[in-house]
Amino acid sequence: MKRFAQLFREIDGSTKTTVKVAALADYFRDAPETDRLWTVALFSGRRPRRAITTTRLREWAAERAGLPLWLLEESYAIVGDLAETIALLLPTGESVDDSGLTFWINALRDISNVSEEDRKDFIHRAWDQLGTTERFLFNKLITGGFRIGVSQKLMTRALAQATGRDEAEMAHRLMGNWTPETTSWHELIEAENSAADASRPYPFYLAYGLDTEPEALGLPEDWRAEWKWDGIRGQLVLRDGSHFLWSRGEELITDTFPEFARAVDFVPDGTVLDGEIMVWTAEGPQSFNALQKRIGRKTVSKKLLTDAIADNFSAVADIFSSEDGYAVRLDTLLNRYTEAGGIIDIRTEGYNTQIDRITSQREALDRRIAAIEARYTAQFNALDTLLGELSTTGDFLTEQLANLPGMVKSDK
Amino acid sequence: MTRDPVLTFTDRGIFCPAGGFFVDPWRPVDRALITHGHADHARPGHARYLATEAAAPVLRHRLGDITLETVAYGATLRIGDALVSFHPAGHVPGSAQIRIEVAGEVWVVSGDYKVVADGLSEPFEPVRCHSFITESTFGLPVFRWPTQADVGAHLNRWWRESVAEGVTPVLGAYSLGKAQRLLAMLDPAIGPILTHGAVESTTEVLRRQGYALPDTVHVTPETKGTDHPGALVLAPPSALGSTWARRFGKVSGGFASGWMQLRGVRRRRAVDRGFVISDHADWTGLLWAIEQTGAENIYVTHGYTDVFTRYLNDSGWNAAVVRTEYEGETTESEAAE
Repeated sequence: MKRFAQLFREIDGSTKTTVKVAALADYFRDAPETDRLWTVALFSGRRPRRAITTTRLREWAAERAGLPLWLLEESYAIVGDLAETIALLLPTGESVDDSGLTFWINALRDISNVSEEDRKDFIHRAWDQLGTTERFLFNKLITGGFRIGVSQKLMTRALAQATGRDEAEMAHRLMGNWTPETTSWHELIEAENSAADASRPYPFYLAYGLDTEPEALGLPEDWRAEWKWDGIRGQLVLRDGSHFLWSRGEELITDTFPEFARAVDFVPDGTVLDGEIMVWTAEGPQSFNALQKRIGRKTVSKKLLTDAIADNFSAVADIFSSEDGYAVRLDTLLNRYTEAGGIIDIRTEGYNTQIDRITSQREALDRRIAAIEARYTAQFNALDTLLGELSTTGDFLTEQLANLPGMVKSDK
Repeated sequence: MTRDPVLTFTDRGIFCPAGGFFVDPWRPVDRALITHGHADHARPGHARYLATEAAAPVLRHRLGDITLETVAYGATLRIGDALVSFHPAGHVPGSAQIRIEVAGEVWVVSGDYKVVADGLSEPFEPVRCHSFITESTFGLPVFRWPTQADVGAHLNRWWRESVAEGVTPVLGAYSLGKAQRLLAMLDPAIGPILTHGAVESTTEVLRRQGYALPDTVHVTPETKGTDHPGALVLAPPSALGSTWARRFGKVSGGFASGWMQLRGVRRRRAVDRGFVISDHADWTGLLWAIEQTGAENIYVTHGYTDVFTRYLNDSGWNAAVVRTEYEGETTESEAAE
């Protein structure tokens, strides 16, 4: 846990991306392999199962700290993070434990089988052996959610640095439904033969709102518009003669939509399609309601399936191979991107121009701020002088009034 | 026969009817006893001031030409029917708790205080009393300070590392108290210490008074960032990230405050390094100080008043919240200290 705590302190101790990436890359080079694997898992939202409820955790922490529960709750309201609150409340401890991250994760998993009294003992002993930062991280393993300013992108960059591999490859390798229990560091990050996971999807390409006027995108002819269909986002992977369907949340939903099994008959092996899953009958696209019958089902009954296939046998094939099918459209689309003077070329140029413009705007803003600052300083000095003069005048007047014949100084 | 309490709480401040004076009032009054020079305790506009000899130079520097009477720590004065003495509060150089005795009943106004010695301020002395008026800026059990030695080592390591990486460390700290305490913690062997004007003027006042402070270089409009290689810059928190700081090129921003104990606050301020160092007592310090006074009645002023008061009452004291206009250590600006 000490090495993991050191990594955390380095990441937490800087606002600079380069420093965070360097700290992560170091960790991915020198920490034990299982700890690295768990770190990747935690930072990509794969947390271990919760072994203890937070209610119990609060009670046991208050007891250990010798404080009433209400005071822990009040403190939590100020701190805003239960794991941190507990770490700060417990009696200050020295870090005397040398076990790694994996040890503690496994230990937490194992206590789900023991009595509550034993669990409490385990947690109390763990707290006693860990330093403040380690305790915080240990508590985080229980409460979940490692939001510590490390994005998936930052982590893949660090992995690329540590392994000397391509960033995009790293992003791809982290996809899919692996857990540290089902894979190893070598298999996930290093193994050349990725056959181990033919199902692995690519990172989903997400849509972003425009931050400039639409005109900045260039000529409409350079673009291809698609309907925003009312379905669910999915990725269809065709490899080794099998097909795999992934949802946007990286869940394997192959069995929910067995229709796609036919894709292997029409589409070349090794193709991956990223698109919208929806119901399409002879009458054309159907509403989301038609899709909803399927969502949430792990498998599809025979009847449901035969009905669906009978309804639109040819439509399924058309989606892939007709003249306006995916294959043809993909080919045309790719050309537009990659040819000289194509979309990628033009986009690059457009961004460079934008960067120049923003830079000059920023410089202008800096100059304006400096001018405003100078003006305010001058105004303040003038006011200060005036105030001094007024106060002198005030003193003078008080004296004059006091000396007027017939006036008596009131004594307040 | 009923008699007035030793101190009453009014809308102008804490008032002693027997002596006809106020302690740290926030509206102009005839006679003000001042615990220390921070803006929320020492306000302008009173007709007469009374403070410790050690606090006087800073008060004059901040408030200008005031009518100020001074007294040594521990010396007893008679004001009206009250016996008054000032005792070290350990908060900043010159800061005091004020002991007020009327007909054998003793009250102590602690102002702001911390109970561990910082190497610069006169160390806190517990004063026995019947009623104790305490702050509670950090009156939650999550606030427990690391030792000054640990924070000092961390601070100097950050300075060395920043210099090695070719960036200038810029440390934000309040100009009275915190800045000088940090100066005393910094290792001048690493490099020169540059100061912002707001820090420099107060530091100069204290230096002339005889507090042991290292040499500093005042940053003037003519100072270039490259003039002092290896330097650390000490500035008010508001100067971090301002145009003033831009002259130093690439900087590493640090902030020294008790609030740096909390990750959320550290991240909202977006500083690279937070140093947990405060001139206010932490949870343990507050409870220790209260215990030491032997007081039965505890009045809790600024900070986590409600929570702290409830805890004291649960633990057997007779505690009550008192509304004041003191601000303690704020998370955001340097409006008060």
